[in-house]
Amino acid sequence: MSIRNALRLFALGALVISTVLAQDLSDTVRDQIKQIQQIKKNFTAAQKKMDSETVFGQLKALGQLPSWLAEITDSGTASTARVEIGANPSPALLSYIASIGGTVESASANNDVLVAVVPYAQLGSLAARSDVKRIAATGRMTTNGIAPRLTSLPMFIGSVSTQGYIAHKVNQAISTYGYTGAGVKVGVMSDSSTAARVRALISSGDLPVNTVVLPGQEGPTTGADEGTAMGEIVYDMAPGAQIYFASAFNSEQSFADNIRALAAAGCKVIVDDVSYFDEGAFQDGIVAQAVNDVTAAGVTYFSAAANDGDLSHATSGTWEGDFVQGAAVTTGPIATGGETGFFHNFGTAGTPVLYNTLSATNNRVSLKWSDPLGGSTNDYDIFVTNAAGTSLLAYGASAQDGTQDPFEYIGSTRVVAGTRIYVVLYAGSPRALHLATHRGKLSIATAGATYGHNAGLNTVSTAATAWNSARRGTIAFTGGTSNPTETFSSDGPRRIFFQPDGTPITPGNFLFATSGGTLLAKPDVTAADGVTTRTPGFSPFFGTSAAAPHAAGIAALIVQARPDYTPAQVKAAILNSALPASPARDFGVGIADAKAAVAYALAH
Amino acid sequence: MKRTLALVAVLAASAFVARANVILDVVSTGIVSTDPTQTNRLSRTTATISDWTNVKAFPGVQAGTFHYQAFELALTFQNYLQISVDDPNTAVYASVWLGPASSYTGPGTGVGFLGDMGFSGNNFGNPGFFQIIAPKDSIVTVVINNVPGTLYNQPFGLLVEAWADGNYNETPEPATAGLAGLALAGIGLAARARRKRS
Repeated sequence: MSIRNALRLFALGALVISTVLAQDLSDTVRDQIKQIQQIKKNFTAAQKKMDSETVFGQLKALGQLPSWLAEITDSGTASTARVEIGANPSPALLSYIASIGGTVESASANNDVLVAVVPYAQLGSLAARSDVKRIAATGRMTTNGIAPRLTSLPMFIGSVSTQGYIAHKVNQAISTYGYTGAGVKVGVMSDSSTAARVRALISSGDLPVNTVVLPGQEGPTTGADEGTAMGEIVYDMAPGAQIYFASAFNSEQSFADNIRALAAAGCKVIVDDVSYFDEGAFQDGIVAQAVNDVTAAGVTYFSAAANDGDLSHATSGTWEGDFVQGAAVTTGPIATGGETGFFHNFGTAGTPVLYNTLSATNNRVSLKWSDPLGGSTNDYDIFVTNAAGTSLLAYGASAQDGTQDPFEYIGSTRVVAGTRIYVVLYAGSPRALHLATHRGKLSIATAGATYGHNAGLNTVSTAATAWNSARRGTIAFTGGTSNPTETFSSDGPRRIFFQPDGTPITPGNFLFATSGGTLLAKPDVTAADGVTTRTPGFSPFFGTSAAAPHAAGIAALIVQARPDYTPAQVKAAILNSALPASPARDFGVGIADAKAAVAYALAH
Repeated sequence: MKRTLALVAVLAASAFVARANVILDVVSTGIVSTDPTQTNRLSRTTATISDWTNVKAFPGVQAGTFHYQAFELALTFQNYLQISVDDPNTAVYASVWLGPASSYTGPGTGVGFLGDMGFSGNNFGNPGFFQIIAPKDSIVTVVINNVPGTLYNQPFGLLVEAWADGNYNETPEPATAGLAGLALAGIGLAARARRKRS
């Protein structure tokens, strides 16, 4: 057989296999996808400014969706949407929002973003305004703490320290060198830090008496006080430091504003533990850009790497890679609709796999691709079906035609273990993809879970290892294989393709396979979690949320020892003195060592 | 009685230097059918652990007959105890009681209850732990019982550390040698108590 004939046979076989697998999706589901794509084809210019949840929510509110589609639309039964509006908060716009029954919660001229609650039925008219660039649903964020909930309020009877105080050799650092972080202001950002809890912790000696919560920024009353638990850890690690707090949970633009506000208040170290699901995987968003601003102004910035799992522990809920063309969506009943587009092939050319299966879930799926934020010209969608592929359960089908973010999101209780996720290139070219299930787990998974400002170039991204991971009690970490990372700790690395302003790093090259963009070694370092705090619900306090403030506390010691240091030098002192551990995609360089870090800073 | 030999209880030799706060370090092959029995066991209250900020109320009991192993510790000034329990098979339950091992018969109505872990098993693969504050100069008993009462030979680890406060301050001298002696005495007492019951 000639090589040509062999290739023909191979191609024919691949086509047959591809078609067969494509048929795994029932005709009913294909017809449902066709209907969604037909609606999308008819989006008005205003509707193209809206994300999938808001545009389909509006159509549902107006009674313009078939019943089956209205039932699975993310807006649920709500009549109003809390949305982020990309627009300058001019008096005219604020007045208009009020006139349609909306309520503005916050506005940032700095980022041209408003957060408002608006009736779904009015979203279309709001989007039609020329000064409105985009509308997207909010509330897509999480802290990265894992805290068992207490069933009753505890009785406080004594001050406690984090076990990280011993594990990271802070006791030795302080007794040897005498630096406690005195004179250093450390900013903490999380969901909330309520006045009552701060008072209680000051009273018990677990927060310093000069603790400051930025006015109006204690966070939502529904918060868990995770910020106070983080502040406790920082204070244990740097007992001379002053703790500041501002919420990162009001909105993304508020988060960015508060980063700058903490820096303006004099914080030289800032730590947060919040992830917004729509933060760019391949480009800095507004939060990462705020981090860039404050680090340029002398702030060393720490963030939790997040708790999205890792490939090493087979807990990954992430798939990263380039789009590979699978079967056409025109196969089956969609063909009669004249649809375009292709399913992504998670497998290989020889063994195509057109869907990924959730083996554990957190009811969330998001897709990002290597287009610039606010300038996506390639249109991808995501669809979730039941395990058999016979019923469409949820979808993300926003328009991307040049001005939108490269982002699709599904938040639905229908997305459960066993369901299938399909990625469809509706229109455009292959791009690098980042499919995330946000603490779910995928049957076909990769590394690269950490993203956004959690893994930003200027962030010290922190992974987690339990204080007792060596099973020998409250002793210093030794690194190596003794202190494995937590099974949930997000792994890296992080490849980015764009500068913060959207300029391509490698013009014309936006794929993993061709090494487009640049690779960031993330996370940077590992620190303790599973520790004791006095904040109710956070004893023990697990998660990279607990790890990041341990690293930030060490930074406070260094800043006191070397006030002349730049953030890059503070980071270098921690990284260059860390206890080696591997693989780097899980640990970064290793586990932070306070005594060695201070020694390094004093010697360099 | 011979089960005592299967219990590898080691006071770290390094206790005289850096790890003076470890007062009990046990690696066990598990509860066995010849271990003494208790009537009822503590209710697991999910993740509500005892810690130094939380004087946990007696959580109540679950009916049944359960085997247990008891480890008696005599305390002096170090009355802040941290108990780590490596329970990979979610097979045992740990609690601490005021008084000698010989007086322990079960949770009863909670008299002498000092604290418990709130759950069986490990957190994310890491040993679970809880903390209690005991009266100074007291004798306390760490009890490990099986769950359910017919589950045997499930290995577990038990590490008890003690401090003078909740901030892990270094052990004041001359504690180390005395502490080591106390721990050895505690292990001996535990073994004796277990022999008496079996």
